[in-house]
Amino acid sequence: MAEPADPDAALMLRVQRGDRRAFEALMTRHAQAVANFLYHSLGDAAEAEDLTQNVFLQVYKSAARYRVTAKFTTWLFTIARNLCLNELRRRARHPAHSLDAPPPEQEEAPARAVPDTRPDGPVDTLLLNELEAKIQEALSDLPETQRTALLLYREQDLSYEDIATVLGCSLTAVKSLIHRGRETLKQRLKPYLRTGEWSPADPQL
Amino acid sequence: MNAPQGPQLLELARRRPLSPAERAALDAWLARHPEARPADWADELALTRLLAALPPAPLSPRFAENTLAALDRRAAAPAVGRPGVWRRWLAGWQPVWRWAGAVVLLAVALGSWEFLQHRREQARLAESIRVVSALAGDLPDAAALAEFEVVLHLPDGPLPDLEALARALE
Repeated sequence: MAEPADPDAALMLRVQRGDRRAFEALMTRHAQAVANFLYHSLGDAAEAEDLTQNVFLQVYKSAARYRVTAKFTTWLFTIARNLCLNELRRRARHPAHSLDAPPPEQEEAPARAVPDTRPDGPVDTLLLNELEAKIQEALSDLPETQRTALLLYREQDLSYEDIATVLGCSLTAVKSLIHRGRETLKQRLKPYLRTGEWSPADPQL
Repeated sequence: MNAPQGPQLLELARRRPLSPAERAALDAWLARHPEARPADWADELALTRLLAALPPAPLSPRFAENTLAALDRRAAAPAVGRPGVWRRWLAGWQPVWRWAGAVVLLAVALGSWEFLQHRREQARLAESIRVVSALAGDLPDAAALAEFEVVLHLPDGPLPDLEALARALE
């Protein structure tokens, strides 16, 4: 059989034959994108990494079901979204406070200090951390479908059609979800958009 | 591939920050088509930059290694809860064939059930005939049943005293 032109599909065909190197290559290509999606959906880095691992274990387990006719990233993000939804449902059923959560007096601080490699001063880093926390908070408050549509929209590889497949809705619905999500974010983040608090790190703004 | 044109650049600007060349091309296009400039264009661009600047998820450098180890642990785990051979075999089927197989299995199951019901009914009928045949000797003569309807519609209550009735008729 001829190898498919899509490199991901070719790798998946090898995974179907039990090729672990191909599986490793798929992880190298896509783990970061899946982790980003899960991290910004759940707001928890450790959980995002665990779920990313589960996504790839699921990919390996279900490799036999993969058809070359389906775009690999669409299939991958469908699995990621399903696992993410399960996690959100589990959280809704068993709300729990993390032992790592900051004490109440520090609740205003960012939920998690993300290692910052940018060569900025401490004030800039603080501003960036605060802004990141605000954006994450605004994202978390969006309805799940709007948030997922927006986060997938950031992935350069995914078209509107792909996002519609992942969400199981129409193309028009995807466009509407993205539009509504962006409108809500613009309202929520208006002070940051206007005052240009991002400017120390981003001179374009 | 052609460079993206005005509307595509507008669309792209919502997806990711544009490169300086793309930005210049979009600005030039918007200058020629001012009606296409969204009302809150500056906010749109700013939001795109904010979203693009979100930090990536911190992922362990040993992520792939850890995942392969987890895969090995799962493979080594006892088969309890893992899909059996037949499920893995079934997983290799096209969904349409899986549905077709399920429909055939359902049809066979329904046919078998129908056949067994029919056989059970026949057996029950045969048994009834056998019992009736055995009792046939004890049954009253068919002529005795000629007035069955009349007897059935006799009024309820105590039966008449036949001796007193006979005396009265005398």
